[in-house]
Amino acid sequence: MDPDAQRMLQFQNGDRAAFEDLFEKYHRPILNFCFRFLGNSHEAEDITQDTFIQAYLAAFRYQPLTKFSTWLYTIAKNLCLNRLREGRMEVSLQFSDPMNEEESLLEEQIESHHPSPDQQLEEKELAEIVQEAIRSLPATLRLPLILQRYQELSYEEIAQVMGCSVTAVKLRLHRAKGLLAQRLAPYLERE
Amino acid sequence: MDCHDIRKNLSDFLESELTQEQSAEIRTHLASCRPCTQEMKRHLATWKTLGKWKEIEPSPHFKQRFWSKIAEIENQKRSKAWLHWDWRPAWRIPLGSAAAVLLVTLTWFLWPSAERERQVAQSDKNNSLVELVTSLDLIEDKEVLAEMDLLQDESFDLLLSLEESNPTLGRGG
Repeated sequence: MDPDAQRMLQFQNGDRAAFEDLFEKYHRPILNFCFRFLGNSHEAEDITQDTFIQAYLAAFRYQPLTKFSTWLYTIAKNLCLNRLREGRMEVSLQFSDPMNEEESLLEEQIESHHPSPDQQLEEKELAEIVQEAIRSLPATLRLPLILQRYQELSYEEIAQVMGCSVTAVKLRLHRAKGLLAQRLAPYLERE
Repeated sequence: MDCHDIRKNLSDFLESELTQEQSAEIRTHLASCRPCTQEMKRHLATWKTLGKWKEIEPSPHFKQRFWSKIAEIENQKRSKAWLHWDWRPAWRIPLGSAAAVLLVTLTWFLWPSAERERQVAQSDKNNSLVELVTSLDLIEDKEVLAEMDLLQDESFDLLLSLEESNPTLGRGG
């Protein structure tokens, strides 16, 4: 059995420390999944907390039919989609918003390899371009792309999260990568 | 495989999801097809470029806020558990016993007074009858007799008992 699923069953039997361990292990991956999908760190934090609250409340009926991480990502995905449907937020296509805190976050995201100022600027701009390109994708294409590229889920796991077939996942990924390649063509790194 | 098939399987090829035979076939094709090779390079470069988007860290009080919410949920669950506490099984016997005791007590206090009232009423009635039968004038008054329930067994029996105890009763004075 999946070790994390085992921990969840222990929490189901009253071991609260098991749930604390699962929270410690998955809150950052879930947070970054939500952030990359929604494009807003505040919303991402809210949904991350809601995801774990839902997991906490649903513990009594939890069954390890899939990996625990797959189950958790499914909850997070549904909450993200609900947030989008509610219209409470819009996925920003314009990254350069002076009121947006994402720019300060972006500066922290640049690899720390002591590049020159010109290189830092170039990397920052490229990261912005990448974010914008991903967010411009439709949700059905953005979701599998983020799950594969950043959350490193397998085709089967992505299919379980999305509730579709592996073939459908592959088709959507192929389409997403094709669109991204077109949008990023001027900036692509060469081997 | 033709170029269309090659490009359709590029992702799986790069992620080693294909069989050895399929991978070998793609390598052979790429060795002699410049457009497909360019497409593969573009695919790799795109994937690498996506890596520029690094992870974020949660805000300073993120964990504290979360565990506060959990604590609040746990408090609410405890409150609701108390409100929905099923009283019946645990308190059935004591409540039943208390109700029985109360009933008996009330009956003990209320019944004697009711009985007394009945006895008093009966006594008053008897006294009225005694007074009546000792007054010949009243007995001979048919209107008075009509008002009385002398024909009822109880009153008639009482009248007989009074006559027997006082033979001069009813013979006129």
